[in-house]
Amino acid sequence: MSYEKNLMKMKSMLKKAEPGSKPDTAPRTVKKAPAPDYEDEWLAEGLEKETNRYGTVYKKVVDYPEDYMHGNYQLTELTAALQKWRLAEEAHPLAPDPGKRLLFFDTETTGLKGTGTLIFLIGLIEQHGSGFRLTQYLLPGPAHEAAFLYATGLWERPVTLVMYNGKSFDLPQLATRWTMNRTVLPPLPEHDAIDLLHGSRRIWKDELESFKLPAVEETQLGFIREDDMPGHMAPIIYQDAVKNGRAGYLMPILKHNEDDILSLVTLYIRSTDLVLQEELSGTAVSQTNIGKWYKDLKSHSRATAVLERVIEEYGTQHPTTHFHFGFLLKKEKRIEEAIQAFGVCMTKSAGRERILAIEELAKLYEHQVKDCTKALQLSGIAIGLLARDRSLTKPFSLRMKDSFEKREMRLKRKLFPGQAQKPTK
Amino acid sequence: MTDNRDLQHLIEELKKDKDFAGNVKHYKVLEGKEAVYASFPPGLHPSLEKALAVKGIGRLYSHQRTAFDLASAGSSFTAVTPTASGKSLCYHLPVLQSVLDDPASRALYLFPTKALAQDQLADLHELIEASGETVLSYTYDGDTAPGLRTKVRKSGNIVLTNPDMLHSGILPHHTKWVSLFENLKYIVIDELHTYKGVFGTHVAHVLRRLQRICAYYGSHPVFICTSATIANPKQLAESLTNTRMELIADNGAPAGRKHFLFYNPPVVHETFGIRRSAVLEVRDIAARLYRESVQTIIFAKSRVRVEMLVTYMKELTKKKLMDETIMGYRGGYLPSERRKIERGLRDGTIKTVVSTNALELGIDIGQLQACVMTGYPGNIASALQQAGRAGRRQDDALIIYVAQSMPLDQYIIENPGYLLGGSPEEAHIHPDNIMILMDHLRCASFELPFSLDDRYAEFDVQQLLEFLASEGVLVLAGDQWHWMTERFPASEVSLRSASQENVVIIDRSRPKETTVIGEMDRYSAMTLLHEEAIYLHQGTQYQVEMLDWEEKKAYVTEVDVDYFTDANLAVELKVISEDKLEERPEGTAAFGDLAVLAIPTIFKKIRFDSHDNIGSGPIRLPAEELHTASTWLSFDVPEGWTEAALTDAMTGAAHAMQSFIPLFVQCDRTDVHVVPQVKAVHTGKPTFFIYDSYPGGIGLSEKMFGQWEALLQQAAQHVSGCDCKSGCPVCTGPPESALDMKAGAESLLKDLAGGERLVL
Repeated sequence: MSYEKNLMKMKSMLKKAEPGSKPDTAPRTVKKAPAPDYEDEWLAEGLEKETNRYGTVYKKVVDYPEDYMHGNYQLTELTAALQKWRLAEEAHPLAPDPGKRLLFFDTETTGLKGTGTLIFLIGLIEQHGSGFRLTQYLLPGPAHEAAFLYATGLWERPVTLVMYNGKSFDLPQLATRWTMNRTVLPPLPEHDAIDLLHGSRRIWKDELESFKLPAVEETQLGFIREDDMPGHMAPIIYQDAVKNGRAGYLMPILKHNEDDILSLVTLYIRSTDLVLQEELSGTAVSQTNIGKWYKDLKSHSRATAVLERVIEEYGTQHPTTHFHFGFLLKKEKRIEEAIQAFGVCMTKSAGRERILAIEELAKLYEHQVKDCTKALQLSGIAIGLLARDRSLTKPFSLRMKDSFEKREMRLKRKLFPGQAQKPTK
Repeated sequence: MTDNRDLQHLIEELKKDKDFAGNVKHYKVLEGKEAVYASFPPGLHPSLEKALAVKGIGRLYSHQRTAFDLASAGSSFTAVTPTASGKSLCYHLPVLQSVLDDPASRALYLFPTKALAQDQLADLHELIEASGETVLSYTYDGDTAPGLRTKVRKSGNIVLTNPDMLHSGILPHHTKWVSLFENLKYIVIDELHTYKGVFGTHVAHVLRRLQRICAYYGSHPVFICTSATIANPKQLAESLTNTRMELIADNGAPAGRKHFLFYNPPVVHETFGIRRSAVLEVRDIAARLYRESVQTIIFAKSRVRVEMLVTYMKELTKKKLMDETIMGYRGGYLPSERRKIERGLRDGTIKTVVSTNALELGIDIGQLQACVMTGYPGNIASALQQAGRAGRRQDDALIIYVAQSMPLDQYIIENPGYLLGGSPEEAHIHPDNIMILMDHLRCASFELPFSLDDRYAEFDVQQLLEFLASEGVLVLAGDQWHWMTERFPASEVSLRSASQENVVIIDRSRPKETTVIGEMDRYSAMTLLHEEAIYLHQGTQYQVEMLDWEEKKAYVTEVDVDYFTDANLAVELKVISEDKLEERPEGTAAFGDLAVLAIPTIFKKIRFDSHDNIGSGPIRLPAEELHTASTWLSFDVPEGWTEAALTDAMTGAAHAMQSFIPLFVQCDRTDVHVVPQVKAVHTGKPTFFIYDSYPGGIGLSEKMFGQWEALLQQAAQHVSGCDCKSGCPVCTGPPESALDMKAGAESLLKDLAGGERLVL
């Protein structure tokens, strides 16, 4: 209650102008702010100072040699990965535009959303000579935001940014900060975005439990963090550094950001390997996911090749592969093979997938094979399963039951013209 | 039956009917008025003229023309628009004109609820379609599909939203709305009168923040407000928007003659002054109107009552198959269902509709012939809105007011002039409330840093910003106060609730589907959400099973019982400052700040109809402290009174006074508290305290400071006029024991009110 008490005291201090009077509305001009008084401490931590026409920013530059390893991967394997994309000529969400600079990008912010949330750290890594160069720009304080954003050079020309969840977080935040400084900064061009969180979700669906970056690092990249500062501590530490000038605690945030970005590079290499490989590697689950991804992207020949490879290796062990393969076959009018694929699912799959496979079988028998008796029989099986299978969600069960009952009625009309009637209630 | 003669005939019949007429206390007629027209403004866009022609409008009402002229001249204004006076054209026309003149123009419409915004969107679409032009208009609220949001932000000419969405969904993300804020020409505030009290105060600050963002992007929008009839529309609008307003008070829409019947159900319980249930009376009256084929709207206060009445009424049609001539209408119905009912009312297929106050607001249902009010809705503005639902253009309308046993209801029956006298209540907001101001100052700081020479609307806030910096929320960098925590302040401030830290009410009747059904401020929660309390939520009874005071969560389950609970609160009052002091005939009146220390003690279970006490239990909760504004009246012990007698009399008098405060300031009964102390620490004398329930005060007790005498008179008159013998829930409160509460309270009130013998 002391907060309320304090406020009651402040009541007397509240001064009011004439009602209806408006505050000064002149648009703000950004003045070049002087370097913060804690500059020496920041420099002592190994930060470099950079000044531009908007003020001051601090940065840290790290060069990595050609043979630098991060987890199981060498950073320079990126060159091979990019070569694969060039050869593949595939319009894929992970494919970079060869005409643009490729930057791996990650930010740290003071909050989660809104105009009061600042970006205080921007890390960028790119190929540099035969190795890599990481540049981390650090905001000295809120008054230096224009200088900080300008220093990143992100206004110069469109580039490709590789990020983790950047499409819904880092990029919108960057746009917000840019808008807040729009009267002074050159406009922010539209950058290409490759979001490795989206990619990871597609590749490792049903295989990884968590898509937090450290979890993906451990299972896929062979990288285990040591003394990592948890991401949610970053805002608190940064605020402390700005309020009290203490730079020492900032360094673990820079380290955290560095690890994030290095992992982006190796995760990109790993993802490219899995998506574009010629022979089978990875599990049946992830390979099937990749095949389905191609299918959803309408890249049918690649989808077929990947799924066929899985089936060749695993046979009917992994029915989901047959499920997705079935749709591809159906599209290519390979009816018998499609029936075979869905048939595998009917006996081997469970739950939702089994019901959907039976539905596809019923459709194929009714419309392609013109075997209404078989289709009717399949509908009956499905309705039976829908009544028994407790693992199905209620809305799904109801929707499918309705659809199968309609199918049944239609089939009966076809089979026994003039006899079928509405079921009595 | 459709014409005036038949309605007149029906009224005559009713007057002759002994059973009915015996209970009609007053019959009043309000004469109608002719329409006042004006020609289309010379600059009106041809497409708009065309759109109006399509809707059969060849000229405007005078107020619509004035609205257009003021808006075109860049003047903000407030139009007082009773039901069915064509208020939406007051804003649609100037807004559409601005978009047709300059397609980059944008406008923001604010409605108090999502449902109203969606209703108005349909209306607006109709007009735009008739014009043959392309004007993009969208609602933007929690229901807006994520895929559509970007489009609304980037290209919506007209965005319809509500204050809550503006507060937490738009302003803190203003960088996504640059093109809106750069080109904002108009801000429309519909249903202005609903922005009062704590909610209105919050909205006043949201609008100040909105204007701050507009100024940042270089726009200076004109405000257009429309309001139901209240005493101070211009003042409320100016205070809400911090903008000078023109007032359009003379409405050009026609009105038919209105016949008001004031009906008081007969007394069935002499001792307690209990009357026959208003719901049953309304049922009988409405059935009669239904049989006479009079299209009727029935207003009831709660959803449960609506459902009860619908069930009763449907008895009339149960023998007809698929009959939909009687319908209910309330919040909680699906939008499609509501649209269907609205259509049915307009085309006449629905004969009787039973509604909560949902239909008070500007939903287009056309005009009905009769309106039956189940009890007084709490303020004149609402009552007039409800009555306004009856009366087609030039036709006569019948309004039947059926009183409940409540004090205000009975007051209206005795004093119909109060309702019809044309002086409705004032609606107040209090932007100076320091707690609310600070909440929004945080939000404003988050949205855009303040400079060292910035003000916030009319407030000089530099010292407050310093305070926020000392709390670690802001940091001074360069010459600006920057937000420097990871918090998102808008999500910590709810516009609709009374206190920053609310108790969340969680329904766990169905173990797998626990849902949050509401929230309540801490202070009220002590007496309404203690364990074993029966909590009424939209007419459903819930029992509080567990109150987790630390976590501010109350777990409830649905029950069906025949009692309610009433908790006792031990209150300790400490005057912090005495800002005003006046000697008056009735005593010494003061105004200042008060610390209220409240400890709930016990609760009682009280049976619904008989009001028997059927059980009780202790409440174990820590004391709560509330700092608020208060006015108090102290007086010398009147000659010949013992302390015990005075205590009883003061308790009864306080109960009566509390009921009547809504007559003086537009508020709910629970927005202020009246506490009697037979020997107050501060004054050393018998003292009545009136204090605001909200931390920091919202200007209610400040208003009452000057009104003590009138309040005492009102209470005295009511107590002596009450039909009960020795005090009842209607006048001096539920009788504690066999004591005669009435005589003492009556005598004390009369004594204080100046010894005048009022009506007996």
